[in-house]
Amino acid sequence: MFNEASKPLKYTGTVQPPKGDRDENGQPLYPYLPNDELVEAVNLAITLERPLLVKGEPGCGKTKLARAVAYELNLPYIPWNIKSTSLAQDGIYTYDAVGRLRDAQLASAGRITDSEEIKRIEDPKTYREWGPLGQAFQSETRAVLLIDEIDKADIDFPNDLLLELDERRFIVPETKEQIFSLDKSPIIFITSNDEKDLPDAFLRRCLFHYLKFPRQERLSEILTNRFDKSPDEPLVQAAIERFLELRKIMQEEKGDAGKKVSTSELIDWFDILRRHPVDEVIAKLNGQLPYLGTLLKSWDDHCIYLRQFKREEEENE
Amino acid sequence: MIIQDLPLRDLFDQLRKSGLPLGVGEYELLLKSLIAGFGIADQNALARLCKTLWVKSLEEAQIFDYHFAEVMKQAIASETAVSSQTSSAKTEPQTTPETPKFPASNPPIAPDSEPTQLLPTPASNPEPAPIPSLSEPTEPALPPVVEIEDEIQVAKSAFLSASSSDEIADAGFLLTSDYLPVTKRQMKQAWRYLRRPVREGPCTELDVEATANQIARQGILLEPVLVPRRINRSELVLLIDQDGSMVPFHSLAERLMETALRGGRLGKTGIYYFHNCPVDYLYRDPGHQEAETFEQVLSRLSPTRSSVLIFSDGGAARGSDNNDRLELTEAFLNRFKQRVRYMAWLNPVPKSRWPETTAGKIDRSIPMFECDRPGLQDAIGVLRGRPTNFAGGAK
Repeated sequence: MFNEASKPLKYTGTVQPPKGDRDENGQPLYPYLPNDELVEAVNLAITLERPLLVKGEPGCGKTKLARAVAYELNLPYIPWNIKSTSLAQDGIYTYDAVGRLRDAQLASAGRITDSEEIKRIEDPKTYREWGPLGQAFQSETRAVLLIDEIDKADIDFPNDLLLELDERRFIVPETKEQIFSLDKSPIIFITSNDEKDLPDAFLRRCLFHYLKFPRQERLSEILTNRFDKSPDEPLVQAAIERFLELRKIMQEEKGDAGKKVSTSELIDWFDILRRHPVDEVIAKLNGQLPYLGTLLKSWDDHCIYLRQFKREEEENE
Repeated sequence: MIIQDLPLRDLFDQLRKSGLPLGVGEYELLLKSLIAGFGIADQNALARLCKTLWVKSLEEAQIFDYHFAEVMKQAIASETAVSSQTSSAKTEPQTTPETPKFPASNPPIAPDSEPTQLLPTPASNPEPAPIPSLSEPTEPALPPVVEIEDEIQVAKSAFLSASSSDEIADAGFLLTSDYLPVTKRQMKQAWRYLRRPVREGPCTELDVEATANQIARQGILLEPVLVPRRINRSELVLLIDQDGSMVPFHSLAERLMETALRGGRLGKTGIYYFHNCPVDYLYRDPGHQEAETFEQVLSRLSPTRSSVLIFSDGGAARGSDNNDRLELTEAFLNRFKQRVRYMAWLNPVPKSRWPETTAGKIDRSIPMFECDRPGLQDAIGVLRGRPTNFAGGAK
């Protein structure tokens, strides 16, 4: 939590927000438990000042990583959620040309007379609004910038960012401003769901980490730390065991490429389970899984599970 | 372990040969990280570090794991060899040519600029193939995963074609059963040029020039002029010849298809299969189960946006000259030409083998290109409506 200018930043993955803590936007903060390899990759990205490209199954915590790093290092967190229509330019700044035109017209028509106001509208900077990348480059301390789901944008998008990511500077032609970020370059995380291949020129500038599915012990740690009131150990173990069984079934049936139940779905599922009396839930877990809707999101998945369940039951009889 | 003694250069060179897009900057990055204290704990830490820096996908990670294990095995072998030698015969350390020299003696950053060259550029050495030299005494064992082998072969054959001009077929030998003259990366790069930007959809973008003009006319800003955003509306239809003489080119066709689909730039990609020559029907699957008539396929094409790329040997693989085939092909091409403006033909067989075959005759009625890098680029140029050197009917 201490951020001295002289000390190099180092992420450990051990500093977690207290339970029930919320960020400045009122969003609840949850603990994030990275494995050692991920911590190492994050530190590498911090030291080398290169963006870290994070890939992995849906729901494995790609997006949450940036928030966790920002929390531990006590740095400003700037998310940039990419949409299919996002342009690289929008991330740097937007310019309200129409607003400027309107104000100029009002002034020339004599509708704006206040000298302060006229001074304001004469300044071209009034109409320039920084985007997430623009903010991150100008942050007083190093900022944590998340470029979320970069593969959703047009294929030119990553290439349009090359200069900005490489040289950490950009120019605003409208106001003739040149922005540098030399000593406080942002720590950049980029997530991708692999919907599209990213161009090689862009990949070359990134570090890469593939998030693996957590091991059983790690899953139980995640569940134990997640909720305000730590859940009972036997319940956690039972739930995780059944969850992993389900995941194994899906893996066998669908292969590596198909969508499997993920960590985030486990958390949702467990959130419902823990609201019921422990004995009752453990009894239920031994039969057909309760609240399947939180885990299986397609009819095919349901069928796979039910078929398997039936087969097991027959074997037991 | 001492950093200087690690065969990092070897590893780097091997990975580059396998097609990983690495440059000297990536190598420097590794040294920088090692100096900063990363990846020096043990071999696993080093592998993790190299992976984070150099590998960008799971497929590349497989290639990396394979080469890392190989290089490390050799390094340890040579280390023991050297140490045994120095202990027994310390007097003549230089006169042992059999001892593999690893870049341990090299400075970490070699002053020569060789690694900055990108893979496809012709290597400076005149030898056509990366022949295992003395420095690689142990030929690597069979790779554990077939896919790795595949990727390495692609890179090797691309390397071959690059180093021996375009006469890949005359190079005498090919190590692979598949003919892969273009790497996936080159395909992806080529596909990116296939675009037809159209302003379409809701009006969201401010047209500054039109707005200024309007103010000049009206004397006052009434409302800004908005235009829709540019989006790529190019639609590609890929017609793939399957089976028979095309069997050796199946994996090439698959790569072509995969990169077209995942390249991301295409508005809509349709893939159809046929055998030898399409007659009345095209098939949606390689097994020729789901048939569609020409009419159905044609009705889905847009006259302005669609382009058609045919991937077939046109009889050149077997060197046959078949008049029936020629007539059928021309009839089929004519039907498509009435509907689509841009069509091109990609022939996996080298151009030198087209004359005296059906392909040579088809070449007169449609732009036909060899399936190498320039050929693919030219074909895509034709699909974009750009003039090329194609001399249709000039022969």
